[in-house]
Amino acid sequence: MSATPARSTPLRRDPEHGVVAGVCAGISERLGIDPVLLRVGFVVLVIATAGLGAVAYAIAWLVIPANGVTSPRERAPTRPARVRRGGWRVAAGAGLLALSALLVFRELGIWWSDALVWPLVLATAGAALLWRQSRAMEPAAVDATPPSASADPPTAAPRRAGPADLYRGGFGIALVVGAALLFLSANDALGATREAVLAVLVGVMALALILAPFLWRLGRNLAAERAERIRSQERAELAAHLHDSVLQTLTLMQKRAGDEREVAALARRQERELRSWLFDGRRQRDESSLAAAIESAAAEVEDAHGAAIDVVTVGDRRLDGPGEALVAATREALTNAAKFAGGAGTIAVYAEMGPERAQVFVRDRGAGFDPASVPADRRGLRESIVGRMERNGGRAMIRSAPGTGTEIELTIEMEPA
Amino acid sequence: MQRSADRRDDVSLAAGVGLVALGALLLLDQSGAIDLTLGWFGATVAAVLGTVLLVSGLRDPAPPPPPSPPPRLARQSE
Repeated sequence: MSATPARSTPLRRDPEHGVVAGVCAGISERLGIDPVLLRVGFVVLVIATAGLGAVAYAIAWLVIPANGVTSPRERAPTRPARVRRGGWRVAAGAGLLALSALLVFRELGIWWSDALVWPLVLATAGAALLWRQSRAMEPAAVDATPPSASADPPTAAPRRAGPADLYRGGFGIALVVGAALLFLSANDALGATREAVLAVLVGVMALALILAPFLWRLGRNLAAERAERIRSQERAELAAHLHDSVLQTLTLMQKRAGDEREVAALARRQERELRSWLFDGRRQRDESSLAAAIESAAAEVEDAHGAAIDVVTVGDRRLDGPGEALVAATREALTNAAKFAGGAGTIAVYAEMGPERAQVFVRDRGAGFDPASVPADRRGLRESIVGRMERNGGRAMIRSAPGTGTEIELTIEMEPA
Repeated sequence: MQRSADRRDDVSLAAGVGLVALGALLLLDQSGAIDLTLGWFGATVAAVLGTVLLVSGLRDPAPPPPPSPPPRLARQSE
């Protein structure tokens, strides 16, 4: 469907989507309103004016040229109605104008009977609402999407009814029932109908009392079946995930049972993945998250060096320039810890991210060292950690002594999130 | 948002013209120039209200089409 605004297109008949000659379809396309409303108003006008509206339609048929779009490539076979934001105002305005025209015809004497026209107006308005409602509940039209744009097959699911749909449908039913009652009342047939309606009402109530227990049980059974189906789907999803991850890893670990380091790395990787799946709501974390970047860096170091790293993060914020520097310094600190203290137990990472400041503590239980005795040519500690933090407005503190392990504290001030 | 001085407000214009027309009809009726029945008055009021609503609704632009979904990449197996 063309995305050009309705006003830029000239008025054309649309025989392809019209009922008779496409006059109403063309006008509705031009104005951006539902063609059903226009057709209903036109039918009412034709009936109320004893056929004068049909003459107007014939004139419009002659005067308005038809559009030339017939190629299926240019137009989709099922065209959704282009409805404006102020669609209800357009519909109400058109309805009031139609009402005004009816009153004018009534005053001029071009009129059949109040007992016929007003019920007819109400009934057609209600029927239009119901028809529009039933059309809105149809499955959405599938757009002609190029195959390269989507790998999934096109699906068309029926739309669920919302409160507005229920109100609209209820209003349509009320209009039709009101029209019928008005017609019967105007033709003095309501008295006879009342007894029939009462009889039907009593019959319906008796039937409801008879069927109520069965219907109630049927509803419960359906709810139980639905719950069981959901549980079954959850189980199937869990089984599929366990098969794809845990079972595959266990198989891999059996094959590489001789390589202790490799087995430990596999186990750690699987543990991390399983924890993330269980506790992060089975969602992938945002790549622009600082906490996710730190966890990712820890995972990389863990995989590369086979060291066990425990990461605890508190808070989160968007990954920006200083954040990237913090992540890089953390990665370097972890790499050092994995290289020199990876065999001495788990390396602990504690990261706390506030609105204006982020802090990361990397602690290992290795042999430790004297920071003052680090040679000047060892640039990893001086440049990649301390220098990088200072260049980005932060600081790095190294607490270590021989035999006590090492703790590196990285602090960086950041712009308020 | 600041509106430009030369921009015309069609809704206000239609409402104003309709009110003027209604006032003129009532004035003519009071002066005895015309006999304004309830049917004609109702038709005029409905026409004015309908025109204002129609103009107001038609001034709203059509909603933009929904964005097309991004192309989905094939899943890579590890």
